[in-house]
Parts: sequence; structure tokens; C-alpha cells
Amino acid sequence: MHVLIVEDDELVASGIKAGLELHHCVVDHVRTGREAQQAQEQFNPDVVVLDLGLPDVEGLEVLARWRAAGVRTPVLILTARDAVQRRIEGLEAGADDYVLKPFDLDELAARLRALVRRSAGRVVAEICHGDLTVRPSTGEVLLGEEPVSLSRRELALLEKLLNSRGAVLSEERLKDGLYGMDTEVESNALNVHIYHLRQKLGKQLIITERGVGFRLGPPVRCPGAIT
Amino acid sequence: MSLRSRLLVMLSLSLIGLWLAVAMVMYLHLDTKVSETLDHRLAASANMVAGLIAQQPESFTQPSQEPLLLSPLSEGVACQIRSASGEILLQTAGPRGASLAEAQPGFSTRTIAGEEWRLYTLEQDGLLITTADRGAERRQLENGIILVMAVPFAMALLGSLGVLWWGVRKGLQPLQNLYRQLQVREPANLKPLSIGNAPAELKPIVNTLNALFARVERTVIREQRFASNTAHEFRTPLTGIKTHLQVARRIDGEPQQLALARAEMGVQRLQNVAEQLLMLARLESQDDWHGFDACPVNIAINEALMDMPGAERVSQVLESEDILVNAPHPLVVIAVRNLLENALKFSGDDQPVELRVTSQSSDHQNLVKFVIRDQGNNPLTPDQGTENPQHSRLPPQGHGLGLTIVESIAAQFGGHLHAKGNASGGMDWELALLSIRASQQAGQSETGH
Repeated sequence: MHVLIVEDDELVASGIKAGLELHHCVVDHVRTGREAQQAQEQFNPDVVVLDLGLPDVEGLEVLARWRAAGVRTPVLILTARDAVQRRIEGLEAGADDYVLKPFDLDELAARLRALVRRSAGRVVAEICHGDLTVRPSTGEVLLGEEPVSLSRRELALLEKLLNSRGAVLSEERLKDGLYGMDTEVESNALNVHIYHLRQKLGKQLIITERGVGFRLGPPVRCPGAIT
Repeated sequence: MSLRSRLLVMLSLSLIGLWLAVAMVMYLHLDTKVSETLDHRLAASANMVAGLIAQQPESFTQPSQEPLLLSPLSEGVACQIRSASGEILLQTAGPRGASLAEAQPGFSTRTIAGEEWRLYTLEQDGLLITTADRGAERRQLENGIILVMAVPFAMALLGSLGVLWWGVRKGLQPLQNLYRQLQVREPANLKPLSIGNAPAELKPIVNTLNALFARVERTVIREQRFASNTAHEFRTPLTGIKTHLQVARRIDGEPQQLALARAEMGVQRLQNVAEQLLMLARLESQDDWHGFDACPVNIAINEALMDMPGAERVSQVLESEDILVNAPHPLVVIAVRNLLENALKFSGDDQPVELRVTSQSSDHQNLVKFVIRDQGNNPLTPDQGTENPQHSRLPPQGHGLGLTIVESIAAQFGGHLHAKGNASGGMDWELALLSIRASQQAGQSETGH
């Protein structure tokens, strides 16, 4: 799950970033509304954690602009102010959830996963694709009954593809989703992760659309399973 | 009882009492006058009979065998003519006539056959002429006249009461409107009262109430903003501490130490917030700041910049160093330091901050102005100012309270804090405080000694 944190307070942002990374998330952090606008356009994150008190522009205004532009990325508002009116304004501006500081990291991660799940049209926490089962909350991946060990990036890539509902995802978009904006990425890094996923979960899991990108293949079956 | 009812009852009773008293006086007067008029009529009748007798005196020299019968149509009148010796010469028929015998000259009242009669006897040329009116007839006439007077009187009274009711109701309508509005008003409703065209007597009340509502609303908004800022100031570092401790519990080694160090930073910030709140509490208790000495501007600025991270980015332009701020020294230092820290944090790591100190004199006061110009992100357009600096930008790290403290210091010592956008995209923060020239103070001290 690729999370964009829009938070001007370095202390809070670093805590959330570190905490969400422990929950197998790929996290990007920006400090201002302007940076948030750019990051959203560039990386198209799975979910946004938006602080309301930004230094340059109100968080609600950022949200309103996104919704007006048709951005459907789920947004969770984060604020230290508990006035009910602010919550109502936030939800009416297009927020999907609201969390008051201070919060529990596990709860925040669970809420973010729920938002991503709902936006992908799923109602259960597990993602199933044939015999492949992914549990984003724990990072568990099962092929049939057998657990499969994936790195954080591989898991994020797999989630991205499973949530795409078969749509073709460009190489750039997948890279942005995996590495965010702070990391220098080697040119073949994405291909390496795709290679590893194919090795671990089957060659048909990811289909290459030449010159366009990648998409999720047909449901995965356990080796030796009767079809 | 409502004021309107009380007024109506009081005025109605007064009006009715007054009118009844007038009616009583009029009745008595009229009664006397009618009675007198009827008496005059009775006397006139006797005189008329006497006049007729005088024209034919021979008819009344001898008593007739049988008194001439006079039968007037009305049974309410009677007449008798008799000689000085009491011999009846002429009289009306029936007991009416016979009963008039022995009447003395002048007016008298007599009861005849159970009815009261009014008599008048005129003595002329040896004859006694008595005329009489029946009391009932007189009373009927009197009552008729009184009735004619009483009906329009009663109608006028009722009309007056109606007009009184309408007038009181109409006149007290604004008061009634005020009453209704206040009665149905929710305690949380602080909108101004509107009772239409308020009379002069109510205008001060309505204006005072509206001013009070506006003041309460401003206070409530300020308190809410303060509570919101305080919540923000407390919860933000608390969130940092909580998240980093949660992270630290799940990891080890160097990352764990980093998380713990950050949690410690959060604790430090929390401590700063607590200290700022204590400072605000002290500011509200003005007794702590009595008997202070004026504070030299240059010393206050030096102390404000002492040990401040990023102080090297602050450029100073002091138009005059010979100025004393008329506020407690520690508070001036805190105010300037808060504004400078705010500006430094918003200007980015490499952007300069300018501190310009100017003085301004007018007839009634001298001001020293600290203008702090930053290059930060500014939501206001250049030259667009605000009286509520906290609305213009809410810094992330402790300055919500910091600005509240600066505003509070300025307000308590006769100054103000304004913020406006500048041409470089940042903001100009202007803190003005009362000042005196050092030379003036020295002069005053010498004079005092």
C-alpha cells in the first residue's frame, strides 16, 4: 500500500512514516499543500493521510481541489483540532475518514487499509486471486496453504496489481508506488521485483503489455492443483 | 402580570374613576338644574294663571257654587285657586285638585295618594294660586335628560378604553417584541437583536444588549480558538511521542534509538507548550507585572536572539537605539523571540529574516514598532492585513500559543500585533508597544530626584 502523508510537522510525520513502514506500507511524505498537489499528480498513491493545518494552504482546500479535479484517491484527514464542525467540513469536502491526534498506529494502518480495500471494491481484508491469498494487515502471502515470503517492495507491488482490477499499470506508476520520491531507483529495479514475484507465485501472475506496462494475470493456481 | 397588562389596568381604572367622578358631579349638577328648571316652570305656570285671573278679576270675586273643573290632558299637573280665607274658587278635578288645599306660598312638597307632588303657591290680589307637578313626572323627565347625557358619555368612556388599549398595545409593541425575542432566545444564540423601529427609550437597551452579544461572541470565538490552538499544541507533540514510542517498541538497534530520540524531542516540545501556557496564565494575572522598569530596545533584542537557532539569519535595522519599551523587560524579550522564531521557521532554512525597529510619535502616545519580515508561505496578498494574526497562518510548532502570548502582551501594555503580506511572498509581523525616549526618562529621573 502506497501512502502519501501530507503533514507539516516533522516529528509527527516521521513517526507515522516509520510506523506505517512497519505495516508494510510504502510511504511518501510532503510538508505543504503545494507539494501534496505535485506528489498526488506524480505518484498517484493508494491513500493519502492529510493534515488540515498546512503552512501554505488549508488541508481542506487541497482536498476540495482534488475532488473537483476528479481525484478519487481515498483521503484520511488527520487533525489535532476536535471541533465537530471541522470534522463535518472535512467529510463534506470529500474526506473518507477522520482521525484525531494522538492516535494508535495500528488503528491508523487498519483504517488506511480499509479505505484502500473499499476503493478497490472489496469488503474483506484478504485479497484472493485464485489460490493466492494476501493479508495486507499482516503482510502474509499464501499460495494455497503454503506461506510465501515477500519483501516489502514485492508485497507493495503485488497489492498494487491486485487492487488494479486487471488494469494495465505503467512502469512509471508502479515505480512511483513502490519507491516514492525520496529513493533513487535503479532502472531495472522494478523488473527485478517482477521477476521475483513471478518466481515465487507463478509466471502468469504478471503479464507484460509491451510498451505499455504490466497487468495482473489470470487467477493463480497452486503447482499441481487440478484445474 | 405583564407591564402592558399592569399599564392597561392602571390606566383603565384611572380613566373609569375619573369619568365616573365627572359623571357624578355632572349628574348632581344636572339634577339640581333640572329640578330648578321644573320649579321655574311650576312658578311660571302659577304666574300665567295669575295673569289670566288679572284679566278677568270679576270671575273670581265670588266663590262659585261648584269650582270650575279644569281637566288638563296630563295627569301629572294640578292647579287650585282659592281665596285668602281658604275658599276654593277653582281647581282641577279629582284628588289632584282637592289635595292642594292649605298650601303655603312658595315651593313645597306634598304626598298625595301615595305619590309625591311638587307645589308652588302664588299669592296675588287676595288669591292663592297653587300649581303642582307630580314627582314621578319630574323624575321621568330628569331621568330622560340624564339618560340622554349618559349614553354618549358611556360610549365615549368605552371608546376611550378601546383607544387606550390600542394605544398601550401599539406603544409597547417594541417592548413586547423585545420580550418575545428574549423569551424564545437560545442561550447559545449571540446574533444581534432586532425589534424593528425601536423607540428612543429602548434603543440604548437594544444597543447595549447587542454590544454585549457581540462582545460575548468575540470572547467565545477567541476562547474556542485558544482551546483549539491549545489542543493542537498539546496533541501534535503528543502524537509524535506516541507514534515514535510505538515504533520504538517494535524495532531495535539504531532505528529504535532514533525513534526514542524523536520521542524525547516531542517531550521537550510538550514541556515548552506547558511553559507557554503558564506564561499566559501569569500574563492574565496582571499583579505580577506591576512596578516594572522600562526596557531598552537593543538589550531586549539581543536577549531575544541569544541562543536562538538560526539567529545568524536575522538582520537588524534599528532606527534608534535610544528607545525604552514601556513594558516589562522579560515580556518584551519573549514577544520578540516568539515572532522571530515564527519567522525563521516559516522562511525556510536559508531565507533571511529582517527585524526593523522604528519609533512613532503622536500627540497622545509614543510607539515603538518591531516589524519582522519573513519569506515564508503567505496566504495573504501583499498589503492585505489582518487584525487576527493567528488566522493568517498557524505555525506548526508551538506558535499558535506563541502568537497568543504576543497578542496578550501587546494588549496588556497598550500595543497591538498586526500581520500583513509582503511583496516577497512572506509576511510582515508588526508588534507595536508604548515607548519612551531614554533621554526623556533620564530627564524625568533627574527632575524626580
